[in-house]
Amino acid sequence: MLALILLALLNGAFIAVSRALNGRLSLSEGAFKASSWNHWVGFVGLSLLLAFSGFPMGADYTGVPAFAYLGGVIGALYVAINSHVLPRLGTLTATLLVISGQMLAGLVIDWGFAGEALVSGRTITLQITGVSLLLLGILLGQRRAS
Amino acid sequence: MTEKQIRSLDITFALGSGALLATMISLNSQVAQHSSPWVASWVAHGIGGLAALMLVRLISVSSSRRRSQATTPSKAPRWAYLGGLPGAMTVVLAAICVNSPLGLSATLVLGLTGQILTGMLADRFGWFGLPRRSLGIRDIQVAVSVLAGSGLLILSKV
Repeated sequence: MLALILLALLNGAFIAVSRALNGRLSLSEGAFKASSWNHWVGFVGLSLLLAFSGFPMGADYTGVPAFAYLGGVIGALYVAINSHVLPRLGTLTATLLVISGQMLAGLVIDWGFAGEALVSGRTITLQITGVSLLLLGILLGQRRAS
Repeated sequence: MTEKQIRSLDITFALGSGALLATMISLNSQVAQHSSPWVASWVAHGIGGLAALMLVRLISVSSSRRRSQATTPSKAPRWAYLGGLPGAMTVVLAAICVNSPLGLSATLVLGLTGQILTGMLADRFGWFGLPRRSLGIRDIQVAVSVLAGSGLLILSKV
């Protein structure tokens, strides 16, 4: 179990490392080139992974709604924007803000598009409190001088 | 623009990029449903790579007459180009953890913790060629608030 906990922590660490490296790269090459490098290096890495583990032939590409493939385009924008602001905000602040934006947007997506209803008092309480804490964090982060 | 205005803009962009990330994950998971997490990530990296190249082209065409800023540091070291490797690895690690006794919620919370701890260390020691920043009590407060808020939202799904 400990190994799995460490692995999950490492997963988070890798996410932060990836952002920081892209941020450093964007200082020299610009945000969109940084995004480009991130995607192509990742593509090659995943290609090798898939080649070794056997490309799943059962993949059904036509069953996917076309707009779902936009995920990649949005990802390109995400990396570019994030890489651009990270060197100025610092890795911690950038990370905390991305997490906050991600959690709030995820909530909206779950409610609006997945049709999730606030079914119980427990859910409503937890979510209102959670959102409040996130907003508090964002607010506190703004007061701090850079 | 004043420094304060620039910072507010940066903050808005960072929050917005988080929203983009959530949207991307939502869309990619639909692709994953018909294939697998690595295939979906592979496709997303490919499509994203093409999109990024197009944006590079657009930007260079529109700003060809602008001089590069004087504040650009020297050419990036080789390791700075490798951001895509840990990024791609997270797909594998996340899948392993989620499908283990750890489960989704614990994987998410630990992942957030790992991100935040790494961010703190990276700032404090000036890793990755980025400026060193001292950490104050305010930073700890913000981190605790964001982690607690995120934890509660994750818990609300259980």
